[in-house]
Amino acid sequence: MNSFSQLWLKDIDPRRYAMTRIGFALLLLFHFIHLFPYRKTILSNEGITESSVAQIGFHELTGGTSISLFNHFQSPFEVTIILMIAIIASLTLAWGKWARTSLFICLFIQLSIIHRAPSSTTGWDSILTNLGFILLFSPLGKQWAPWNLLKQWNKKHINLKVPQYGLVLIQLQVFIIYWQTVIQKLGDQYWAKGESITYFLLSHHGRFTGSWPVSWHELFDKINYLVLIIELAIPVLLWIRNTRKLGLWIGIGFHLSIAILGINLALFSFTMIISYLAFVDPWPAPSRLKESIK
Amino acid sequence: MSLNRKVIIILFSTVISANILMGIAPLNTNLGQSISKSLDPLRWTIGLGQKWDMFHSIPTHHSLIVYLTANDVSGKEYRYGAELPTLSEISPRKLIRYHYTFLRLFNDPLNKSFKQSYIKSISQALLKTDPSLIQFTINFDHGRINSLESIRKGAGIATARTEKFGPYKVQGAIKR
Repeated sequence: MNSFSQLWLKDIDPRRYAMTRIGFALLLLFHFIHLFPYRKTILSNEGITESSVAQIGFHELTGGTSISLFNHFQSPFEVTIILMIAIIASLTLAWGKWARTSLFICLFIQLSIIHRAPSSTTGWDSILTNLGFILLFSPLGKQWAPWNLLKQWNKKHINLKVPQYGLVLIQLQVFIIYWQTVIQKLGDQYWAKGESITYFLLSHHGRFTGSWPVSWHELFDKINYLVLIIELAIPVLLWIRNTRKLGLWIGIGFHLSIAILGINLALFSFTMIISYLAFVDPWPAPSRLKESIK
Repeated sequence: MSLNRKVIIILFSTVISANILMGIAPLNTNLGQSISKSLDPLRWTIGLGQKWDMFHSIPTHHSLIVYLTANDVSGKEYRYGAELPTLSEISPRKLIRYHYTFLRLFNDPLNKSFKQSYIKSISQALLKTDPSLIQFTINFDHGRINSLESIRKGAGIATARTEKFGPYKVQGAIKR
């Protein structure tokens, strides 16, 4: 029981939460900006669906109840205002000012977007709500504005300590995201036959058009299986202190490759890279440092 | 830290971690489906859904173009874009959410309500644009990627095929 409670309650440096909060806020900022061109079509009543239908559709798809803000604010003008509020809230979240209120606003608007337009969601939409929900009930290191954090980055010790549960939950979430996706890929014929990367590069996601991936298929066939191994390995490598750096290099390299070779996937890559902040510990406790050196 | 606060943190963490860990069971398994059936209504309402199927099924589209063709009383055909409210042309390659949206609306029966609402909205927008229009069709120009073997033999990257939905009456949105 003691080790179970320690898993959540162990004290850590609050700057780790500040770093995660700032990274997450920047991610939200880019995400809400990315949604701007879609806003009238997918979120307003002049777009694809009326909000009353969206409420029914959301229930049919998920079994859940739509609590979207866009059920009440339906005109293109109102939708624009709400997205602008989300952008401002992500900036104040990064700053650390009214951090919890700002995070609540961002999370509620993001949740509202999913509830209003579930047919238009992408993979990273749910990652944002999951991480946002966890952070909403976690310490946020709000006394650290980005410039304060940079100023005191080299300070080895901060007297204030906070429990680590929020970051552990995000780490767990990252684990499940990678592992569930690999388990699902194992049942897919393209992944099983080693054709997934070639097809991906030939698809509408491919940045460099043409049939060149077919000529490189023998290499991509091997990369196909390597990707599965990488996705299984990333969370494990990140979890273990001694392999964390390697995990970061592999994970960031992997997602940068996706962002470079694919179009429209930069935000997904950025989301995954930001989630790694929950693993990073630039200010380890002295005892841990000793263990790591040993 | 007070004992109460510690208990609350442990309870919160236990519940959230249990939900996350149950996400390991993929949705294409019986276990995953039964967990999903009982937890999803709450999960999706509060934003804790656990559906991580990114690229588990590889995209088979090389391209997708969605557009409308509408006819007036004389039978003359006009082309419009599929975006609302402006009926402008959209590029699902540039704006990826449109790619997912249109494929889900017209290929996944679970999205039936959204599809019907879209057809109704298109109908109203066309009437507003040109009251002489009487019917319209939604066209999907799919560029499906050919098998690697046939691409090697010179078949080209993709085969184009047009899928048509409709015709639908303008304003009434009732299929003829």
